[in-house]
Amino acid sequence: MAIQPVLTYPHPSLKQKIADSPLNLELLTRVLTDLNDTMNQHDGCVGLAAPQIGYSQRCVIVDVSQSPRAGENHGLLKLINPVILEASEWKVSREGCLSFPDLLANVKRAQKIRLSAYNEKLEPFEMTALGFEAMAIQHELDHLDGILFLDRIRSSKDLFERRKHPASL
Amino acid sequence: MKKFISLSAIGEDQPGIVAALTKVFYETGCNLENSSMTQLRGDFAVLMMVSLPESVTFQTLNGLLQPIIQKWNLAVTMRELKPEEVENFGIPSVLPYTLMVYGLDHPGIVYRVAQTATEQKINITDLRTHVTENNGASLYSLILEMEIPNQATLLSFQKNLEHLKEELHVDMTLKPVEVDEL
Repeated sequence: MAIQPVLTYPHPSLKQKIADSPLNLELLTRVLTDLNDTMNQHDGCVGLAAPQIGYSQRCVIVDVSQSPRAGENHGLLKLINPVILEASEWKVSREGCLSFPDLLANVKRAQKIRLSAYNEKLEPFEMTALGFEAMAIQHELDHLDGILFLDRIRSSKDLFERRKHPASL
Repeated sequence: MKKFISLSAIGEDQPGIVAALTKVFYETGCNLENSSMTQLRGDFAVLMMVSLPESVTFQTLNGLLQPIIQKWNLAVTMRELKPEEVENFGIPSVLPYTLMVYGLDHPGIVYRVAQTATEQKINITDLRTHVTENNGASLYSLILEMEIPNQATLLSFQKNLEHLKEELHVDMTLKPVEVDEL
């Protein structure tokens, strides 16, 4: 188990486009394990991309199953060299990102995506993701291209400072 | 033609400012038209355009607002619009764009971006900035909505932004305002 620190902006790793990962089982198992351990360490976190913990590997992890926003979903997803094949049903919703702890932004994402990737056994597969899971996957895949959610903002009214909720009594 | 006033007010944020101001408009038959009101850290800022019925003069409205301004300790400016300003309310023919700029906070980000836009006669229609903590660093976010006069200006502006990005050590994304036709 290796929990890695989550890199925050302006760490240069966050703005880099990552090349496809070589299918090296030992390396990718370590990256995916660290992603999973690190994600589980952060309450409410539904996904993490390798560059956010300092790995220049094209892989992400997504698990929306514990989120109140989760609809239909696949539970824990480990995606290596993921590619979005089709995207449709666009919708704007509010996102946060561990690399920008104090900001939220309204971002437009597809509610339905079809993608190809390799799984943790390095087997190629295709899948369809819907709703919140689809949005989470797109957010994480953007990280692999050095695109941050702030780059997706469409208007001056789309950026918000995260409000701290008063402690419950 | 309808009479309009523009009003700006800012004061310490507390519940009731909007209700106090709009109560006067409601009771005098004035109409709150375009407005923008927001919390700025511990203050609350109001920008509004209000239309007045024939029976209400600028002076009457001003007089009715004074007790509220004093009670809530607001810094207020108010002026009556000239008829030609009201005539020019139409929608201009321009390319609407959004520019997102973010990076570590340092002096000059807004100034240099706004100056670069001004040099190319690009009009800023909305601007928001946020300073937030990012893991101990101070992150500056600037979002501008702008009217770019034509395609040629857009191309040279994009080029200038590339230089500015290097100069200011920030990240920038310029994109056209998307319209979702439903």
